[in-house]
Amino acid sequence: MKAPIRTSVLVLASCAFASTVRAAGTRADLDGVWLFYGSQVPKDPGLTPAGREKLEQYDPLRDDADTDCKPVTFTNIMHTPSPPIEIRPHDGYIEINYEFMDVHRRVPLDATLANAPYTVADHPHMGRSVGRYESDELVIETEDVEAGYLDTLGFPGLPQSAQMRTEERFIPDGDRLRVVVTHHDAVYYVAPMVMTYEFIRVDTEIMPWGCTLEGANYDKRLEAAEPK
Amino acid sequence: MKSPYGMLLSAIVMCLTALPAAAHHSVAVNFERGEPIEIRGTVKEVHMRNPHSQYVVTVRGEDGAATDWFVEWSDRNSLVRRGVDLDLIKPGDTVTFTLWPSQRLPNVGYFVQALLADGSVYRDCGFVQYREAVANSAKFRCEEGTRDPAQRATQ
Repeated sequence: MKAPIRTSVLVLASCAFASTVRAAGTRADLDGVWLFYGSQVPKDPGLTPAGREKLEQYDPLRDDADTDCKPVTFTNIMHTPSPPIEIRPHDGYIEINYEFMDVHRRVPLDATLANAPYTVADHPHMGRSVGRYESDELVIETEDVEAGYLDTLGFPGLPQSAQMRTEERFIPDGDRLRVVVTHHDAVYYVAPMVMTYEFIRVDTEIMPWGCTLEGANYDKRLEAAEPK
Repeated sequence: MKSPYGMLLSAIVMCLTALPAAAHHSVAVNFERGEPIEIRGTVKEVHMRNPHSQYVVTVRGEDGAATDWFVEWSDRNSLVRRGVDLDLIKPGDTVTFTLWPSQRLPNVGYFVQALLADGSVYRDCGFVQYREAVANSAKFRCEEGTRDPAQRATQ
């Protein structure tokens, strides 16, 4: 091999190696179990008239899907402080296991939303997701969600339409992780609505949740008593 | 986690506008977190489960009439992770519960603490204390969540 060609090959090989190391480093940063450490929720989410009407209709006793052991949205899950989140990068996909409600999510990388499977196989209402790396950040986009309520915890009663598109940006920094979630939904919001979550790395394992309807809903109490 | 990170995270959190309630339902929405109330009764049922634990407590009024109260508590996993002894209260025990009353439903409250028959206080030290211990690489202990003599020795 002539010297210029050999040099070029070496340079290309070095670039490829550097790229591999960078990708591996990114995955290693995200890999682990994370505990909620706080959130930033807009005081004014910028609702359209339809959004305000939907918010006013919200009844936490009846409109919180969690009460049917049905996880509401990833935004809502991340507002559930105690149960941790496990992130495991793999070749070609990201695995995210949320202890809350035993939600096991698989996010394909370098795929298209149109062809993506439901991100949680047994909860199609949570939509289809695809992911990609941008520098050190993992970006997940989600569409095809079920219309209803986006959040029953951080800002109870925030609505979502079936047109909502969500971008989650996972930004690791050592033992800290920031997730910036941008919700695009022109039906209910006048502009993209952003929530930010902070997490810390924890040395623990995800535990089975085993949601029980009796522990989740208020039916028994509603049967026993008329509301005040 | 190294302490500089802990300090930085503490500063970040101080700047954050909102922390959600310490349970999957919004405690802030469903319960009045002002002045708590007390009920004293006989524990009828104990359910340590997800997403909410619950005691059913039979309370007798001055006229002798019995009323069942539903005392909601945290999810089982969190209580286990925070070292709370889930078997300290059993059916048949007489217990005084301190509660945040429901905003909407009568005879429903959220567990704050319990005064057991032996006079000891039983409670969960909570998510925030646990989280701060983790953030500062400190060992987490909640003496009020157990009757283990070694754990309660410092009380």
